[in-house]
Amino acid sequence: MFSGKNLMPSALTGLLLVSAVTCAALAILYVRGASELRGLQGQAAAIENNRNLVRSLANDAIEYSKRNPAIDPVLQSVGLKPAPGSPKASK
Amino acid sequence: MNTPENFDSPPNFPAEAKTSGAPDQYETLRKLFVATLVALLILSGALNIFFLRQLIFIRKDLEAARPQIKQFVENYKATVEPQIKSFLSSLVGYGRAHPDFIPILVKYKIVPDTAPRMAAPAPAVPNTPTLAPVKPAKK
Repeated sequence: MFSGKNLMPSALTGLLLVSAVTCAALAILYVRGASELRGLQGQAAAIENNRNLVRSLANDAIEYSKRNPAIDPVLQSVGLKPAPGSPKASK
Repeated sequence: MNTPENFDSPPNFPAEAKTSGAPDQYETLRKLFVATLVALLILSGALNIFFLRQLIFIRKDLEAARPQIKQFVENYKATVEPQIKSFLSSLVGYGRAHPDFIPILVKYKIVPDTAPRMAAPAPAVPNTPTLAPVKPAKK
């Protein structure tokens, strides 16, 4: 009554269902992994951005210190300028 | 009983339908349905392979990046961030005593720009740098 030929559509439908469910599960796992990776990379990028900004601010402050040496103690306290009498080079 | 939905067994066509070619049309439709299923199965299989490969790559990337970035962030929060905050607060303190330093602090948005405006509005400054807080990554 049910030949192999006639069972084929049902078998294919079942296989397709399994494949679709697997595909959805893989897609969800992939999206979650990609999102975590993007978050980690974003964190690192934000830190790097902050460091660059502080570096740029430090350069501006060093440039400013050439006009107004009153800022030198602040720069010396973070090692951006050598303390007076110290042989250390500034950063 | 035949259920046309599952195509498992051919329906019993009435005599007039048989003469009008319904069984042939049924067989053609059945073949088309099977062909569509096979095509969808191939497409779905290809998508499975694609997502599986991407998942493997991203897992490898995550395994490599996670410890490095976590260490980088922890190091930043433990040592660099306090230094930066201390440096910024020193600069803000200095800026209070020396107003000529304020433009530099304003440039980096460390202090708000409170300078009196001219009559014409100033043009917008694109991409003004600012220190962004570091948000923890989603897990």
